[in-house]
Amino acid sequence: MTQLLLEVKNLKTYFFTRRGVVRAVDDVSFRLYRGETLGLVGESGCGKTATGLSLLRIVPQPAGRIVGGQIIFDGEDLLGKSEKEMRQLRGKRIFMILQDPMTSLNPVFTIGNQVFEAIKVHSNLPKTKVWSQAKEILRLVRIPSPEAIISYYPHQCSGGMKQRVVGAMGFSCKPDLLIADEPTTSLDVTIQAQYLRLLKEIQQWSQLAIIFITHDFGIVARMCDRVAVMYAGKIVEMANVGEVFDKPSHPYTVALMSSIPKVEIKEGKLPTLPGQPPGLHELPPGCSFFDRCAYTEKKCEAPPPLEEVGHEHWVRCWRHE
Amino acid sequence: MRRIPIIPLVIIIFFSFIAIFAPYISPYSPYEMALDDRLQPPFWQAGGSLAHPLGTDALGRDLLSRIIFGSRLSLLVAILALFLCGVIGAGIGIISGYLGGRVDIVLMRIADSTLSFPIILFALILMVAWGPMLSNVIIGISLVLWARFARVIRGEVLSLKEKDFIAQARIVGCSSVHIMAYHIFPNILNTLVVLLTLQLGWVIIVEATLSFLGAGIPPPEPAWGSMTADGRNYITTAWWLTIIPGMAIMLVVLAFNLIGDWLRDILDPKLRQV
Repeated sequence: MTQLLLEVKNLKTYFFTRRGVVRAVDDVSFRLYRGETLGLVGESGCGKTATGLSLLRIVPQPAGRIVGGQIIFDGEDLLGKSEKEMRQLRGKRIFMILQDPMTSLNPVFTIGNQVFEAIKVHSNLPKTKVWSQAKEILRLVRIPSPEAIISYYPHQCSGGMKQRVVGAMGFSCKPDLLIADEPTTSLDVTIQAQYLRLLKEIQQWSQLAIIFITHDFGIVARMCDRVAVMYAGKIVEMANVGEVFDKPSHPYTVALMSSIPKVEIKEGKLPTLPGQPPGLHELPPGCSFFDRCAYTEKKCEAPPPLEEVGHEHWVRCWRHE
Repeated sequence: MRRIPIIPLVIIIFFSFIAIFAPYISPYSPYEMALDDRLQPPFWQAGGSLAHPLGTDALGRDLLSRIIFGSRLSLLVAILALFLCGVIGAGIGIISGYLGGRVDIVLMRIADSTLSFPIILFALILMVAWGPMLSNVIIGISLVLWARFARVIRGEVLSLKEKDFIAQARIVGCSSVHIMAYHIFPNILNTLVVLLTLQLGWVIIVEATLSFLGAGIPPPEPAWGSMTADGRNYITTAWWLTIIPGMAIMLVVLAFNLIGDWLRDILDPKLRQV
């Protein structure tokens, strides 16, 4: 857990639209060690998925572009690589699970075909070898009777099963980094629990590093070692999980925390955070949280820097000077 | 669900059958002239006989045999031209839609300019330039019609490429070529099949028109279009020379269009405006 796998420095991914430049990922930096899980938390539209897509360099073209920064993966800068080199990394060393399992499999191919393809793209093994590997990997992700499932089409499978199939495609080449983009959001809670347990297990024996994109602090507490809270394209707070739960420091994190339902409190309304995140093409000049923050001061009209306030605990807020 | 259109299906099967077995079922050779038997009427007309059931033309050639052999030409041209159209149209549509950007702009402007030309005029110019020949007709028709395929397929691809499974394929590490061939293409097959059937009628009409204008399949080949043209001079005395080949064209085109409508409704209701 000490070996550095990924270092993202000042990553900027912008979308150039007719309404202006959308700064989906704005100056994001973080580190990830082997076997570690980093939670990427935030509301919808705050740049979590765009961060994930940027790491794989598959930001939707032509509107989206990575305009700056560095992504150093295992010692090499991914932004300097050619498309061909990236292709060899994708699926083999970095994999991403998308949010909706219902649409992330090709409807016209069987489950077997798609797992087969994921392996075949990166190997020269003979076909029969690949097929047996595909079956093995499906068994690994707890697909019951892979021999039968292999000839099923995606529409014949349940959501949980499809998400496990996508997982199987990911683990087939034993990647070093898995980006899981809300992989359990569209699954029901029991399936969700199973899936998370499976991920944890696989992580334990494969030293897989995971970036877990979610907006569910329950999952964060369960899965992650560290958390980065994103707001309007920026990381506003980053710390170890325990630290974030014990002393959340950014007003946004505090607000998110207080809107988690708690078992012991039976009565009263759940506090909510009023308003919407700002449109990413018309950000306020200072702190992006300016409009919704309860502690706004004069100082907040200038953008706050990300500063270390405790051991490995970073906060982007003026209140911690 | 709409019912299977039986009558159009029967018509198509019938014409395909006579096209395939033309040499065995036609009573005469389509080229054989018999100047003694010129302009014989069909058998149900006064003076007609069962020796020439649909009568004979101005050179004494048996009309039935020429219709039978003509179905061969019509279907052959239609199938080959559509195959070419499908390959060019689907290829360009997929490339243009998937790659987007400048490639898309250039390819689509070419398609637009092809579409802005009157089809027959364009085909006629090509034929005049290249000379009337079976292969030229096929190539000419595909050059005129590919743009319709390209446009529709491109539209389909545009929505398809935003789907998660395309992103997932990229994440797995597939190349663009691989994604276009294995992930996009199978998903547009429905649309392509519908388009092909709907355009089949068009191709037959364009071929018939070209032949009618003398720029299509050259005589003495028994193309339905040139047969209607030949019959024009005798329309007052021997109407069957024009009407019967015309009926054949109409029946086949109508049948294909009805089948195409039906296929479109069961395979892809989205395409209803095409």
